[in-house]
Amino acid sequence: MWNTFKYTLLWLVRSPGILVWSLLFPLVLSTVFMLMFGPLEEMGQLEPLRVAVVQPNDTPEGEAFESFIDAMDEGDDRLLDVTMVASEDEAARLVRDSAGEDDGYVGYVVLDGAQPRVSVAAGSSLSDTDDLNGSVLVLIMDEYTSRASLVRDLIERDPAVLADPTVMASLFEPVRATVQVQVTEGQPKESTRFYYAMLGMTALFGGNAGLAACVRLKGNSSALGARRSIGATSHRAAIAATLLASWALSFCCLAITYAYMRYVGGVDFGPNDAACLAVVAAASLVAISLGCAISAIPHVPEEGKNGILTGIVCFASLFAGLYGQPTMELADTIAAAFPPATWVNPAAQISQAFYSIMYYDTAAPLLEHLAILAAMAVVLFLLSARSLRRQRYASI
Amino acid sequence: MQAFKCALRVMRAHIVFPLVYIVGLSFMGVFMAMSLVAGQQSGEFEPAHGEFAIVDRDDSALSGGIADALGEQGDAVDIADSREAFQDAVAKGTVDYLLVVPEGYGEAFMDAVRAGEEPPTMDTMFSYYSMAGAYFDEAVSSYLSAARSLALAQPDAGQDAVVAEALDAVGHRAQASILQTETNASEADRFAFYLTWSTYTLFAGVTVCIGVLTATLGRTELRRRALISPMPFLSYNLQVGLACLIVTLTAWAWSFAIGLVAFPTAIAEMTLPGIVWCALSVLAFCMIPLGIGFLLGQCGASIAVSNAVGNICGMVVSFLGGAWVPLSIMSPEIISVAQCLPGYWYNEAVQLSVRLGSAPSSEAVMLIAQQLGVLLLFAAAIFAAGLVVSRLRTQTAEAGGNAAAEAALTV
Repeated sequence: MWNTFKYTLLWLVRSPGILVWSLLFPLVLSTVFMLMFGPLEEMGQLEPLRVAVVQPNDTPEGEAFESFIDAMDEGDDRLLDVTMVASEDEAARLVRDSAGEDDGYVGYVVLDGAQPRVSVAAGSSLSDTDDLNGSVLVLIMDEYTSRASLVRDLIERDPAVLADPTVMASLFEPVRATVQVQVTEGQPKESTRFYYAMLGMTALFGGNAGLAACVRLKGNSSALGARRSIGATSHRAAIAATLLASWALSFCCLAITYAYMRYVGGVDFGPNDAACLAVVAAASLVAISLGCAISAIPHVPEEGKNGILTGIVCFASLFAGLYGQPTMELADTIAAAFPPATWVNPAAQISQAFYSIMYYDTAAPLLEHLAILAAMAVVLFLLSARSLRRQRYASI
Repeated sequence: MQAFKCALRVMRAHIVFPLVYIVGLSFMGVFMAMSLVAGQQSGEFEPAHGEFAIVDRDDSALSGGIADALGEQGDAVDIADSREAFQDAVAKGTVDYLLVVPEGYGEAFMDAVRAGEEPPTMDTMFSYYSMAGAYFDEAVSSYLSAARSLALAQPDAGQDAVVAEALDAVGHRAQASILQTETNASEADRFAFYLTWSTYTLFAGVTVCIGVLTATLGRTELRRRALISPMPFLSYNLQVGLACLIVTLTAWAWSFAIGLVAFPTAIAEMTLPGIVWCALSVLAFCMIPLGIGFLLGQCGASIAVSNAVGNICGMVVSFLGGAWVPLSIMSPEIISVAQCLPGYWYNEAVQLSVRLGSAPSSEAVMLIAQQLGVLLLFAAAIFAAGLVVSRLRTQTAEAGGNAAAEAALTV
């Protein structure tokens, strides 16, 4: 059994096709992800919005509005990046000319009487960021409108109340009564989801090792397969050793990828290395069982089975949210509407298992994902049981 | 045309590869493009709607008012008052913003404001999209600011009266409308996204299919038989080349036709020259994986290696072409790297093509033609490398040429 394990492992390590899938593919993809997601980390942060503001008149309302705009354009955490212009036409031209640019104007604001009027540039891409930027600008102007309305009401009721400096000050200083706290072990980041989904995909591609090894167990697959089928090692021991060798290779390659992402790329996986390695082990097991199950499909050549494995992995990765933000939102929507869709998706389970280490301070969610992965592995091994049994061949 | 027919039979025997890569991934692209939502294009501006949750341990008029104030900005989601539920909501993105109002907050707020002290704080949690969280936080601040001013201005007013007036004040909104621009997002952008995503479909699909063909037909024994057959070797190579071209053209036609069928509104918005240039862009891009597949075949790559190379390179090219994450948010260094790969030039060509007018100027057409020229240069360079490798390989024993005969004689 040891010899079968040793030589299966050696054969797998010496097979370029398998090593490319198990090791090169995850390393290349994680390097590309690391290079690209640095700027994405900043995408979710609120940058000052570029806005054109038409210079208000020298009326009390105009001066109050200008003071408000100046306050929004001051300090390190300013909300607006204001460009003052002389007329509405100039403001509209400025916004239109910059539309579609990376740092284009969100819109322009003009004080119409005592009320601000906002024109938000139409979305230039299929992204909800445009709407969100416009919404923040409108919200700021809503705030001014509500304060102006409040001042008018107070004056109507009792003008003397504005003589009180505390009341006056309160109208110009917003209340900051909320404190952002972290309830999860780490702060959720969009890029982290990409990394975890990628690990889910690369783990499943490790199934190529299980597929190739299981195909070569068969007596009619090669001369080696024929010799092994009549060898002294029992068939059960040969299967166990072969699967163990495939799992060992897959586990080592995935563990190297994990270490590379964590220690070279600085990807946050939470505080618990042992838990992450447990997920890596479970992911490798599912990958090998998937490869083993696909190897059992009759009347399909090995290359065809590789294609089937690739198709399944790509499809599963789509619903784990790998292919960009639209797919992430799609995956979230499907998971919310129909939770069983994620229970049967190994890529989603692997990704969520890493996720549970990162974000939960109890082990229960992680154990739940590990149990689902283990159940998947059992089901997949059972599916391939008939094919893995000792076979009789008419000729080999 | 025996070699040509044989090559097509080989492809038919490995039909699973085109089915998975070209058919399957095309449908995935359609699925993804359909899920995109365009921003508002005209009329009154409607603020973005997110999900928020308020865990109200106070149950006062002031805390109830927070939910009313936020109701204009998003949809309330019920979250249980437990740490696990909070973690679940934030980690899974069930809510963009979670606010916990502590017990006695309403009274404490009113007392602190009237005593001239800073109001007490509440805990908030943001999910991945921190911008959406900040948006809700600003709305809470606006409401509490109004409540503070009213509480100070009316020292004898009760909490209920202050909350009612604060909600009335924050109910006053600025007029907001959409300003139309020349770069408004349109349905054509959805089609452009599909074509950009197709970089992965076509790169992986064509590379793997051509790799399968060349690996199968490049086996040493088969090459030896082909070399000694009465068919001139030039004719054999031309027939195999034609089969590779047919496979590539089929992938191109399928991929583009699916786009045409799936996005009729986009096609109706586009002009005929725009559609034609889009089709030419896809075709020019297809020549690159064709060249890669040919190169892999000349290197003697197995089907497994072609499969892996097609996938890895396909993902890198599509990623750096902006198919997964827009290149506009990437650093200048990454964009410089992206410009060294074909996906970038293809994406530029597609973006220009979808906005092409019905009578495009020669400058506009030249600009697209330049991008396609870069793509064809990539293809030519890869194909030339393939020819060099092919030349070197014919001198080896594995290729089944003279070196193989010499090796056989030596034995």
